[in-house]
Amino acid sequence: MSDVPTAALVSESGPTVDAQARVRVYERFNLHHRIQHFFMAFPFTMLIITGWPLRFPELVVSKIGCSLVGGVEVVGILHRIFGVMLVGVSIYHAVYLVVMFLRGQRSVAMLPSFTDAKEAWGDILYFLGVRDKRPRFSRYNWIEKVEYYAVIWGTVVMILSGIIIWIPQIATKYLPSWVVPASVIVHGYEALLAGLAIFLWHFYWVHLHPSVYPMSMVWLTGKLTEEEMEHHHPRELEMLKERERKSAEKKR
Amino acid sequence: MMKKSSNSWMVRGLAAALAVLGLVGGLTARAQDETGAAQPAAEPADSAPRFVEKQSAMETCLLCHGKYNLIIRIEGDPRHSLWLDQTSFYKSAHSSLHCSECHTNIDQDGHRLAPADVVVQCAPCHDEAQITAEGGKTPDEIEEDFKHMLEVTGFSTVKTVTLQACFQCHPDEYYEYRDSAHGASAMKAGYSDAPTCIDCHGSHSILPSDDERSPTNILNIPVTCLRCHDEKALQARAGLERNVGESFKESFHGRRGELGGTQVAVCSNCHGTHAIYPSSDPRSKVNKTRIARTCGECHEGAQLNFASAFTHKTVSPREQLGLYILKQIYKWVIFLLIAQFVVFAALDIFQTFRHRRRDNHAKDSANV
Repeated sequence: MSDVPTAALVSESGPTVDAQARVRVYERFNLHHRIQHFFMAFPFTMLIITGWPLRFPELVVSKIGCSLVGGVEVVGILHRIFGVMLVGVSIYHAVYLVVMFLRGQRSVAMLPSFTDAKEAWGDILYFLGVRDKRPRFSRYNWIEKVEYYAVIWGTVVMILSGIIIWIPQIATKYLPSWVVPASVIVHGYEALLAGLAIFLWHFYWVHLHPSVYPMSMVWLTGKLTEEEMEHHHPRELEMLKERERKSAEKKR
Repeated sequence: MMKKSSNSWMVRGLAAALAVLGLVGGLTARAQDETGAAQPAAEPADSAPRFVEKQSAMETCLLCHGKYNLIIRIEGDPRHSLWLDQTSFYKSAHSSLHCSECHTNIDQDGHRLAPADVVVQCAPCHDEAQITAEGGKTPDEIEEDFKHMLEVTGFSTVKTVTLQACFQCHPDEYYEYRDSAHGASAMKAGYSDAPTCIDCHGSHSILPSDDERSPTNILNIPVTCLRCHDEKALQARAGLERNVGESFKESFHGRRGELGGTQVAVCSNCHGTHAIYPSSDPRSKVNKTRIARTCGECHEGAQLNFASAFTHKTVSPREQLGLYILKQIYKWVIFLLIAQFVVFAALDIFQTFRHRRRDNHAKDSANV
């Protein structure tokens, strides 16, 4: 039962019928999730853009970018503003998890499990052509889980190193002086890592992948069709249908 | 009148003459006379009527000196430029003069002068009395200083003359400089590769440091300082810290400067301007006893522990092993991750299309 998602996280409204297309759709992300995703993605992208010039100052594009917005000082201020936004949404998400937990709407769907290791192995065998089909994933597959935890790790690292190089004179009152040059290195490379992970890895799966190309609309609409559910999250679909059947039986 | 001299004397003479163009007072010529190093100044103008008209005179000189690659070898400077930067010159206060008005004893034959024989005539425009009044020294004192400098420095007269000339109006800066690492190296130790005023400030068109074209402008200071401090040979000769340029460019100060930022610290903000000392000297702005205050000029509340976070050490195994390892780990992680992304995505696309094709094929067969 450990993988059974709660109603709160999966589909509050249950499957609905899209009036025009006449296909059943399932709500994968509710409005609240989508807003959180947006307020993560927006400052993230802006931080990559405003952090870029200082990371690669010798490039012409960095110099042009700086002069376009009125100088490197302005870019620095913008970077801090978006940084604060990202800190805000991170704290919000942590609070959100705690509140959900306390209200009893806890979900274990995102917790790593042994099944993930098995699915990862199965997936690799599929990629290598040994198996014919990808494993039957539940709500979050192993790749999505790795992404989620990578985002948490990366955000924590970026926020801590960012604070240290924002206020080095205060940081060095409590920490050894080498944390400052170390933070500069960490902030620069972790950003590169995070940027590449999102724009190569995440974007591959949600934009470029042949089954969703040119873009999965789920981050805007929050909804997946039954066909998409069957393709990407068959085990979750199975469970949803099972639950639907049971509640129907109960009613009767 | 003129000594017979070798080619090298000739070029040195010319070099000396050009570099002091328009800077030296009439005093200088007199001082040279008294040290016995120089011949009397110019022949009467009418006995050398070669420069009839200013424009043609300039053009004659600029036939050679207008070429930026006019470089000769002189003692202490294997690549000495004899180029007259016309854009600088015509912006300077002396733009209305022509060469021979200051270089009074250089005519077409004058190229054979020994350096000590070169005269740069600043009178009558800059008369003695006026210069003395502004400089605050009597002509005798200045002459003494000058003689002494020539003795101890072994400079070509150019550098010494320059110092002497600038001193007339900028005595405070001169004294600060004289005691500094640069001044001591140039004047006490007598190294001809040590900088004097003109090495940092330029010669013909000296501009205030808030002018973006000035070599002492905040945007240009790193280039100005690194012209010498990035020289491997000079680093070895003078025991300078290596990699100062590289580590500065890597730093946030350097990066912001590279992007055109003006709210940045450059060399002079931390190390000072005229009064620059080695960091071991307690008078140095970056000495342990003063560095926290120096950082505090911009970073409010900076303490010694903050200051020691910023060094000119590069991230290399020899200088900062810990940071080097950290950097290498990140590089490898990034490389491996990208490799993994690409491999997985490529395999995934391949499998997707393979299955799609097979499914289509199956469908086709079923239809048939």
